[in-house]
Amino acid sequence: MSQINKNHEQLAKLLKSHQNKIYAYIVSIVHNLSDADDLFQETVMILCRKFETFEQGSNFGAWSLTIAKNVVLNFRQKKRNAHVLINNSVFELVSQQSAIEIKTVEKRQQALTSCLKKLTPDDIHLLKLRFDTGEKIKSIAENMDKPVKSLYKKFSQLHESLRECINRTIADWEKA
Amino acid sequence: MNGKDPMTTLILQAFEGSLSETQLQDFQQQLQQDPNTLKQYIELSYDHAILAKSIMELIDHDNSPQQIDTDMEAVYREFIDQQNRLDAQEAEKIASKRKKKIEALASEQLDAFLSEHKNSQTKNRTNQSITYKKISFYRPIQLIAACLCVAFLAWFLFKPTQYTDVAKLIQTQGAIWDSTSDSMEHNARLVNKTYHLIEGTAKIAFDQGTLIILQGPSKFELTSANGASLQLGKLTATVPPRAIGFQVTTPNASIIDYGTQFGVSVLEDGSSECHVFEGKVGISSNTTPSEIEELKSGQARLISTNGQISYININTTAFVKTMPKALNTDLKHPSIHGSYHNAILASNPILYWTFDQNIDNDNIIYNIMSPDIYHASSDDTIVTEQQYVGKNSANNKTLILNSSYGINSAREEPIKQHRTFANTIMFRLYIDDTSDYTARGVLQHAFCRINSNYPSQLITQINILDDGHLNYSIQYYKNNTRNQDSDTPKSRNLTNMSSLNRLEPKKWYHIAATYSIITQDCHLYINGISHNHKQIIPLNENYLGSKNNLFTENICIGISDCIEPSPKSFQGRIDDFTIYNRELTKQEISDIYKTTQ
Repeated sequence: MSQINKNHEQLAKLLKSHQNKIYAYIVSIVHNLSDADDLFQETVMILCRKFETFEQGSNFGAWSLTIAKNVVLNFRQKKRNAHVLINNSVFELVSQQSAIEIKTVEKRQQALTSCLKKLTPDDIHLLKLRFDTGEKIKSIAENMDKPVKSLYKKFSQLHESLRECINRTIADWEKA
Repeated sequence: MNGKDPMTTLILQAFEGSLSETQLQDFQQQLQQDPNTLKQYIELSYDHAILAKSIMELIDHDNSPQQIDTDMEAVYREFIDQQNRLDAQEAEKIASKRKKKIEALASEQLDAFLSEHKNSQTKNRTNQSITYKKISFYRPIQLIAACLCVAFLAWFLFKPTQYTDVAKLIQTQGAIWDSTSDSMEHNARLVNKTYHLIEGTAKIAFDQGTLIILQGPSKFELTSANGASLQLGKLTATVPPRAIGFQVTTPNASIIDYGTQFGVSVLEDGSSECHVFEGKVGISSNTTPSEIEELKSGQARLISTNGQISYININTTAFVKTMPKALNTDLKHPSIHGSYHNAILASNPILYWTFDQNIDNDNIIYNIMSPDIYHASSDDTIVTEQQYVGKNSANNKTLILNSSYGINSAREEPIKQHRTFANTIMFRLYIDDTSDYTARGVLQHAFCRINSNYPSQLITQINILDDGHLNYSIQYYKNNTRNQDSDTPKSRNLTNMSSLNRLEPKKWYHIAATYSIITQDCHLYINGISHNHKQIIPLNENYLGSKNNLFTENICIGISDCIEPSPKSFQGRIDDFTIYNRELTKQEISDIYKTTQ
């Protein structure tokens, strides 16, 4: 196998094990799911292009998050006039904290799997509408003929109960 | 949890990009001041990312290798597009080389390749359209695979035109497309090719976020996920911030968006007009492409066939800027029949009651017990109001129900004679008043098998519950035992499910209830959306005998029980009552519903 092929195989492995964290990190610092999809894709393209410069044996996770952050910074620069962007100091605060917390993503994923099982079919149905079809809450509310506000409240309760369940489950695992 | 809810709601709004400026300030302040809020935000963002990923995984589970290959090509195209944007001149050279190469390859082998490629593309398009936006998690692997295949890249550069999904058709109104257009159904994925809208309007969402409304007659080409070429007709483009740079080209001009809403028209003589409704655009004539004029809200320009740009007054009324909501619960009635009727017929129902006969009196209630109602139709598919409602019908083109008897088809042969099982019941529903909802039966549908060894029935009921929710249930009854006292079990509830929300009065709803005798899955759909689904308690042949002997015996509309009509019968209207001997899919039901819009 050529050196190039070896490099690509290695990158594929690293990406496979880090992609959840990269995506979660981007979601946390860009706080918009549809933008996050595009930025994740761009990050991966850059990782692919720059992998040759990656120093073998160093921390791929930290390197990939740095690239992801630069991609998001570039995006923020382009969209600097859009009022939906958080200000620079809050961005830095969130990105620092997120880089620390990112190690919890895998545990959260495992816990989420069991917490989802505790939801009612109606709640699961709502989550599927939101994440399967990619519809926004407002659009789901319109389709269901429900007030947007009440559906936001419903989703808030749903996500909050999931978050509490995940944190509880992780705490139980750590105690055990 | 109550204390956290407002912040959670704010965070959810942030994820959806729908924070107002004030809310954003509040959001930022909370994140800076409260470490717990920051923790909450980060955890929720991780949960969102994981949920989005899990759903994608589920979808990608069914990806065929072909689809992944096709998507890999799309990634390549995207990469090449990116390079092209960076270096337009270089791109031009590549395109030129590519064109020459293709021309040089005009041989029998190329024809064979083209034919094969076209077939493969057609096969892949539908599935690809569903998964394209959802598979970004697999992009890394595809990219790596792509990097390994340099030869493939070379092939891609020199191969003939490759279609790529760039947009989605999200809504149409009276749209007629020319015969060369692909299947232009709602939610159809559109590729980078030319489309011809003969008449009507169509709303298209580009993958990068721009929405355009086309007005027929229009001829246009989708050039990329963020650009279109209008050759004839009118379009209105609404460009969100993330799609800034959206470009519309016409035969003699280019319009580049700077974040705005604008209209472009191309006339028969080849001249173009650009009208800016909001924000700014840059326009340039093809004769002087480097001279870009910036237009602001309220300004318009005419670009004549010789490329001269001149002032014109803005015309805000000539362009369609909004279309009715795609999913509106208040169905238009009764003028929906054209497209809805066609959609129903195309889906092969075994029975379709339209109640469409025109008569003068608007207020006559059907004489529901009239034998005229139950006359068999000579046509197995369409039963007209005249045949079913007879002389006492009204001009309202709906079935008006306000009697405690409802309509009972039990004694009639047209349903029985099908000797088939109704797996889908679909109809439109209008409730007159909700002052007293108490268990108003909308319909009962009895599936019956006639077999002396296993006399039994499955009864489907659709009722409006006390709280206004629509309920769909299926019960098993041992035949002829419903009114007898006996200790032996004679009935069993197989499934029971309700709508997610209550039905409002004075609105038309589109209802569909399905039951698959194979998978035992039951679904309740309202306005094309799945509101609930369950698997029924399996029935083995001890209950019902062979499934082949199970067929629809009778349908009662307006009441919940054919045998013992309750005074709490349904008060309202029902129209377009349809049954099928198969389980309609979610997509089919959604597509049929959308024709009512």
